[in-house]
Amino acid sequence: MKDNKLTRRDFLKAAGATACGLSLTSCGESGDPYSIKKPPVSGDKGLYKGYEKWVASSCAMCPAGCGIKVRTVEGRAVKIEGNNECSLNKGGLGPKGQSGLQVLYDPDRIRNPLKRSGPRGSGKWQEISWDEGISEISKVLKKLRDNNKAHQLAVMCGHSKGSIVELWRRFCQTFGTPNFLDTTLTSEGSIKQAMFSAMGINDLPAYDSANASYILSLGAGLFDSTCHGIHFIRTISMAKRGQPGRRAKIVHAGATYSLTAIQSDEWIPVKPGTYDALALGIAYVLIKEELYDKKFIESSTYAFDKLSERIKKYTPENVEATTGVPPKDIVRIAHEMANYRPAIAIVDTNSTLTSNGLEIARSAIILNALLGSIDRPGGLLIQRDPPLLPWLEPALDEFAQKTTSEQITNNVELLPENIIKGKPYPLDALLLYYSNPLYARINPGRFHRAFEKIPLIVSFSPFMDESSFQSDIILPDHTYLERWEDVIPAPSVGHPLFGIRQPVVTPLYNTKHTGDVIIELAKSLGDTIQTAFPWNDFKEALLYRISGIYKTKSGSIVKEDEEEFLSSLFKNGYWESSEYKFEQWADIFKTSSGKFEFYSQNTAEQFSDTLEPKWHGDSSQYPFYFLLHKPITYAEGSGANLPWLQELGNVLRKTFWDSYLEINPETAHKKGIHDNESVRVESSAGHIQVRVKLFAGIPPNVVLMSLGHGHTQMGRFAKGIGKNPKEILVVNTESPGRIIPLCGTKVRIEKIKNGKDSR
Amino acid sequence: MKKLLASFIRLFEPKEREERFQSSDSIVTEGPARRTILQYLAGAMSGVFAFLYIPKLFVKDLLNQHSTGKVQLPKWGMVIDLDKCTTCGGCVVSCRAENNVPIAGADQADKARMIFWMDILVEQEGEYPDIKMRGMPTPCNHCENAPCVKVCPVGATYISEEGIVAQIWARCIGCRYCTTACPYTRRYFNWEAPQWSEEYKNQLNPDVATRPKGVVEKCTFCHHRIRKIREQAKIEGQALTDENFRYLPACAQACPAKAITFGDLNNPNSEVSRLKKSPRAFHLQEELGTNPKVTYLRSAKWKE
Amino acid sequence: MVYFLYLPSSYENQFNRSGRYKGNREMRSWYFILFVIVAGGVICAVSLIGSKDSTTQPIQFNHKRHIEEGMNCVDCHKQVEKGIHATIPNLKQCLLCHSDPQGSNKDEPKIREYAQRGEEIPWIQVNRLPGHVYFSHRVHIVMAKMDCSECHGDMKGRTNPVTSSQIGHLSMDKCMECHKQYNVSNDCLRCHK
Repeated sequence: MKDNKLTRRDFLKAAGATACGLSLTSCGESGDPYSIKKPPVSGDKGLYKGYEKWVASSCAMCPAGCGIKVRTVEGRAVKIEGNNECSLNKGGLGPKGQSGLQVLYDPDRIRNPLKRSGPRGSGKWQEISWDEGISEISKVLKKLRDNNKAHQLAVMCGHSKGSIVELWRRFCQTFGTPNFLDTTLTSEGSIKQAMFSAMGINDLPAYDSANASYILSLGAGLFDSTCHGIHFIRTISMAKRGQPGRRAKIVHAGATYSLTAIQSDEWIPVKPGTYDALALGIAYVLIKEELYDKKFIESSTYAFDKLSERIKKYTPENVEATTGVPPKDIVRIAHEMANYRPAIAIVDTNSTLTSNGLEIARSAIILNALLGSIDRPGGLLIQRDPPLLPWLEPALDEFAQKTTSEQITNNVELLPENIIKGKPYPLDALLLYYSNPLYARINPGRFHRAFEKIPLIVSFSPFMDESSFQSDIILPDHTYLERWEDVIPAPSVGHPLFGIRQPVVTPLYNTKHTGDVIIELAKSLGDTIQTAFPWNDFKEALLYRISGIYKTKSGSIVKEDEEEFLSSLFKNGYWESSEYKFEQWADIFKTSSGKFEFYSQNTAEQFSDTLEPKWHGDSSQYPFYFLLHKPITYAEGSGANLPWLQELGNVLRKTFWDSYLEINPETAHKKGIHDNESVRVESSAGHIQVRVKLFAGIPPNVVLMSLGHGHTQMGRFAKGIGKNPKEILVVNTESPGRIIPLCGTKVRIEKIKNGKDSR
Repeated sequence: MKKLLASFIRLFEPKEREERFQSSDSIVTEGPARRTILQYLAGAMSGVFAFLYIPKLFVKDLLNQHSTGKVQLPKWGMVIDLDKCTTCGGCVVSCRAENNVPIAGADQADKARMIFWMDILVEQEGEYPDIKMRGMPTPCNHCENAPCVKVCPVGATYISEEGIVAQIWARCIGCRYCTTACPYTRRYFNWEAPQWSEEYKNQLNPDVATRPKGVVEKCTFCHHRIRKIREQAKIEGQALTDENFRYLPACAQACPAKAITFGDLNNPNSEVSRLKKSPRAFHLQEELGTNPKVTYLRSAKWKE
Repeated sequence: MVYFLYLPSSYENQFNRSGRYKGNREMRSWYFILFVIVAGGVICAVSLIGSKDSTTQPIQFNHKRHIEEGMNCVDCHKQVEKGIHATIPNLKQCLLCHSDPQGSNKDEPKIREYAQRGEEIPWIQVNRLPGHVYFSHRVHIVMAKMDCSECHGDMKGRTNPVTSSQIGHLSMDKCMECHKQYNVSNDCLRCHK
């Protein structure tokens, strides 16, 4: 086209077209990675464009173990949905489960095995091969065994169920160390102990909340962070509204106006940590007015007379002095519970945070027994385990047999003191599996000092968390969307449920399944340790266990052929046997009397008479109870690196990307503190600086802080965001049982001048 | 589109343009200065008006051409049961994952520039211990009488034939009239270009376009999911029932309490139509007359 | 956009102060400059959209030859009746026939070379829609019973591989015209995502 032939009309048309073209282009270019540039595919090769596949698996964002289905497009995981068929969550999935994709695609994942190349904590790492990494550890472990110090190896494990946990136990057993340390016991321990003393069952209770007519939450976080997770949300919503003609009442007794309190029909404010007194106060009324389930008490319980003797002092008036709940409310709740059967009293890990946690759990279980709600529809259920085939008992060599049975500590929270003192013995090697003591334990600074005394620390974390940062070797595990695993959900539905976790995408980086690493490590150590691990890889060991389910030929998948069974299992993502036989009391109670025991015969720990929790700190100096809250986004502190959870924040307080100290507005007003101002929170163990959020749901003498923030490592999204309240907690060793309470510290707060923004 | 372009071209046809310039020239020579400025302003205003509103008229025109279908189209609506909802936030995260909603980051969050197509609104009253609080998940209400649609100068937002208040990102000029007009604050402006690390880009949903800087975005009732299952059903020759749609949007699918129900309000037998008639039903800010298609259910206190 | 592009341009200068038209010669030079700007803009836009003429495909693929062998579009573009994207065949698909040498095309052995290296053939996709547009092949092929050539032109007669988009001329306008003709909804949400 020659220039002089161009007319204005042509020009304008061209200009218009260009402008449109540009605007179209600019739209795509700036925002859409799909439109102009090559799509950012880093998944499986050879998949055609738009290739879509749904993979069934199980969630690992909390112990609830919901069934999930993951949508993958061209080998990339793009969305996680709840599995509609799985009876645990019936298609629902909470915010944590939805955020799992950001675990997989976290930009700061550890991509190779790493070895420290500078001093500890310098952040200098050298990439090593997997063989190097494993042989290095095996060298140290061999030396330990040769020097008769096998017991000086400890494994800290952050999961409580599943084949990998069994694998770790087996490894410790054959290696010859008693130090398999289950860190989940710090939160679940009191309830498990209470269950053991009353029923001889070493597990958490399950609750048939869908069929209950009256639900009393004793400080439980039904809708906050709880290991029953989605099951509670689903079933309690169903109980409230969802079954025509039925309407359950939800009553929440709690110190603060939590998410659970908001969604309950009634909130009963109680003094922090006095749920045991409240439960026994209700029990007093039930016994006095003979409203309890006489048939159950007579036939299936032991030592009821001792209980009725003991309970005499818990008159509503006495209970009021402890809990602050008016006597008429206690009597009313007791009457309501007796009238609206089935009624349950629920405790979970949020209830038992104080020093009297064991008593709280026990009195709640006792209350359920009085109501006759044990192993009955709408009551407290005993979780039946899936029929997995156990591995053959390993043969133990001389080393393993004669090794000491004395653990370095019976509570992980006390580990640092024992390591520093070298009592009962020093620690030479520490393996960290899903455990981050430098962040998650009370007063983590103590662990810092203890770490200095341990020559070898190995972390299996896929993320550079605080403890991995201070370790010597990191052997990164796959994330849960890349690995094989079995999932035994935390007790929720009662009937046996087994979830399979399978790779949704091919592993993105040079990471390795920790199950495979354990097996390789065992093989490199030789002798009986090697023979105890006869499998080539973890999947083989796992399939052996699953064959137990296949052999029962019952439940949701029944197939003649084992191959067929497995392919259906992988397609469905779970197996369950929905039959739950109620009222099997004779079978389920494993106590020495074979009955429900109000007064335990087999545990040394008996009722304590002081029900009020112990608080550390003088009231005149430290006037505020320092309570900790586990928000639904908490994920045991590992949710902080997920931007979606950071931006969900505290759902009802509308706080994002920071941690806040919640305080009663009137208290704040008296101290001249305004919303969003920075304050200094001080306990006898230390101090932190944090912003304040005024909230009328907090009692005047309480301050509340959410857990989960304040990481010093853990990637770009977690590092330096908010504060970790555990830094100022006092280690309170006086409580009964093996419990070190999370809530047992009193604090004082001071306004910081000119500190509008602490960040 | 052709019409639209042609209108542009006609608007600036050289001949007309020449005339316009001539006429304004004559004003310069004839009239006093003050009047000139006023007239210029008036002219400029009408020009801007014409530029901003003419395309909208065309869009309306185009849409009207096809609204005379024989089959009754569905009208999508949602019912949220606040008695079931526990404000866990599952819907919020699910929505963000499904719809490629950008992450704001700590700094933008401090400026309240986070984007939530589905958010949880909070009401609170009273003092300790007589405090009352309620959270309600709030997507776009897809009003039948939508204030945002009325103010959009470029026709980037409109009510689709199936009742979805849609936003066409490519057409949005980012004037933010609609964010101001929306009484439910369910519209969000992209203050920055969305930032995803290379790793996070893997997670992006190819069914939903990502939005550039400077446009307003909002909930779409996951219309891409409706489109998808319809297409699938048609190809496979299956009929779709209310059950296929009931928990279709990402928020409804994720909700553990099954508090969110979705469906066709034109279908009297659908679950949403049934629930909408419930005595517990209410709408947000009913007094405004926006006639939202999102209905809430809530009962008073627990009774025997 | 049109509005703003227009404003700084030089129409005002074509008239002198008294409003008299300045004449043809000067105008032509203005037109030349304008043409350069516009042409630059067009090239820029075209290159940004991605339909570069300079694209060279890794293998000199001959569509005509394959059609002559009795193959159909669907045989290689497998998803065209099942999915949104028509899809470019992967190496596995090619190897169904080309695992043994076929024909005399000098590029043909390259297929097995790629296979040996375990690589996919790095075909360059030339037909791309903007990110906010949803276009489903199966709807248009299966339900609307359209022929591929209606958009893609005469691919069956092509002897060399495509180096630029064959549907470059396809604009929203065209989509809407066709939708109108066949009484298909032109609702924005039908095609926008």
